[in-house]
Amino acid sequence: MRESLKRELDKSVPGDVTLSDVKKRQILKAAQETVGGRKVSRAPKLLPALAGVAVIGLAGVLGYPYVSDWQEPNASQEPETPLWQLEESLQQVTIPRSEESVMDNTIFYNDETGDFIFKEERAIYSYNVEDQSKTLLVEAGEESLIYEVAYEGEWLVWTEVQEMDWDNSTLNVRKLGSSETVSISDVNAMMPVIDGDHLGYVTFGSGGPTYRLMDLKTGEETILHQVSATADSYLEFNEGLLVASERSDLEGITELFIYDAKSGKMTAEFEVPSVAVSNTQVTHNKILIQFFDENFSGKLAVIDLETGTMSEIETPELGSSSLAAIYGNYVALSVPDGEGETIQLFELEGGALTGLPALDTIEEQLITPRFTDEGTLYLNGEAEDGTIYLLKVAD
Amino acid sequence: MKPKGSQRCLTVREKGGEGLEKREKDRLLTEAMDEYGHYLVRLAYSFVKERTKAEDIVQDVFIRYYINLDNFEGRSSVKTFLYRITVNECHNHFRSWAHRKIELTNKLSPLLPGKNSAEDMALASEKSSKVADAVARLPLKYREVLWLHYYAELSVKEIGEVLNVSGNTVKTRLVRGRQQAGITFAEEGIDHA
Repeated sequence: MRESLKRELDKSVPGDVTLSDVKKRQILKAAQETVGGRKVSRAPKLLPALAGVAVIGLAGVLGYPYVSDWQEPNASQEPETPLWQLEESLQQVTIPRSEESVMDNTIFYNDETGDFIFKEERAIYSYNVEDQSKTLLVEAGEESLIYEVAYEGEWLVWTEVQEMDWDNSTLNVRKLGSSETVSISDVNAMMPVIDGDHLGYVTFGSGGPTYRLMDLKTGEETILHQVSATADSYLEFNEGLLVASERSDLEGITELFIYDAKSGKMTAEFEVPSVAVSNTQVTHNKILIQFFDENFSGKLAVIDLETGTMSEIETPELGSSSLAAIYGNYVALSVPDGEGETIQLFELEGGALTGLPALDTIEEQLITPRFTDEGTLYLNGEAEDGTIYLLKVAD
Repeated sequence: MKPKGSQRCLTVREKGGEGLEKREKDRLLTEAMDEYGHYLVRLAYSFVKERTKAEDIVQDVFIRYYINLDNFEGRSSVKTFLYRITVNECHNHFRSWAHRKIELTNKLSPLLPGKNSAEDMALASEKSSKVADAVARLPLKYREVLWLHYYAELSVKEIGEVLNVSGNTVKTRLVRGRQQAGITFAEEGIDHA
């Protein structure tokens, strides 16, 4: 029976998909050349650190010193929220959404107004928790789709893709409360992310993906970064800092580029001794990253932007979906949970995570953890009703 | 190191004072490509649905294997190592720009008659069974364990090592994956609900 299923799976792949002898020779040649012509790492002292503690090199940019010391992370500096207060703040909301859109985890929460902003395939809505009102904000044109949405404060940005011109997308910007939409067409814009009055996004052109920054008040645009290699993490934009990552041409090194939104200039460049870096998140002048060793075993670390040091976080067994979110010293992680995975909240202290039971009363499995700037953790439940959970970790 | 699973498991001699000679490395790489290349590239294709990308992934996997030949310490089987890197590269591909572009195109494809790529045409010509179609529609975490177990013939323990999850998690995903795909085993062959 095992053989039958193997045959069925095998048949689902075209028969001529195989590793041909020609390809094998190409691989052998490429492997020989890679080893033969392998450059010596610019940061040779850093690489052995992968086996134990993680270390980061801070390449000199704008006068930054070269640092290569692993440091014990400082003890918690954020005020702790009493556990009872955490548990009491847990709130669940079920937003009336179409069955299809429940599967879409694009959803934002505004602490100040109590509004959720979410998209369906052809529309963007807001939903107010208090008065349970659902309001249509944006409707896509006929035969077009709303592809991605970014929201923060008073700004709403979305990309829309037209049926007959699918190589390009329209980037739309609206200040909430205003019915006026600024649309920029003929751009292949993706992955919009808002912080304050700035928008970060990516365009695709002949030169490859390019990160751009737009001042939403003036419309002024700055080209930040041209991606020349593989990027394993989306553009992160928070607290006025943008983080771009891409694999270095040096084996086992990933570079992080930090840009300041106000100046549009790069302020630091880090070399992380890792084959790939994903899940970059900025919080309280630190960057949470997931990094990988040569066996692609994922681990978490925090980079302190003040000292330029990277400290590996001792974690429990992580779920394979590698979901993580951080706010100050609070970290939400995907962990194994019986028959699957769920999200658990931890407190980061002294380089280790202490589990907090704040989400333990939730029976369904949780996905997609995110924090608002004000410190509210919001998560999606996996059940069909699409319940959202809110947990305030900061006052 | 004992072979695991039904496929022969290659081993690399334990790290000694000297690195492996180039000829020995070439031999080991060639042997690994002969043994696992076909399976790895088809497994990668089942994830990324792009012939060139699948080949690129497997090329990177074997180059990484070649580079690390000196560093094997006899703890990890070559088979587990190769599958692990392949699966992780596929996971990374899902987060990559290229995949986002494909995802966008696929999302739009129902609106775009006549815009099928050569890859789409190839896909359309595949002789997928109902079972394979059902597996293909599963969430990644279930799909990958079914492929690794039933196609690549990895044991539960090996899949745990490849995916960095516990054996119990693998077993659970196998059961749920089979249930969700409607796969039941009859005395001879498989049934699809």
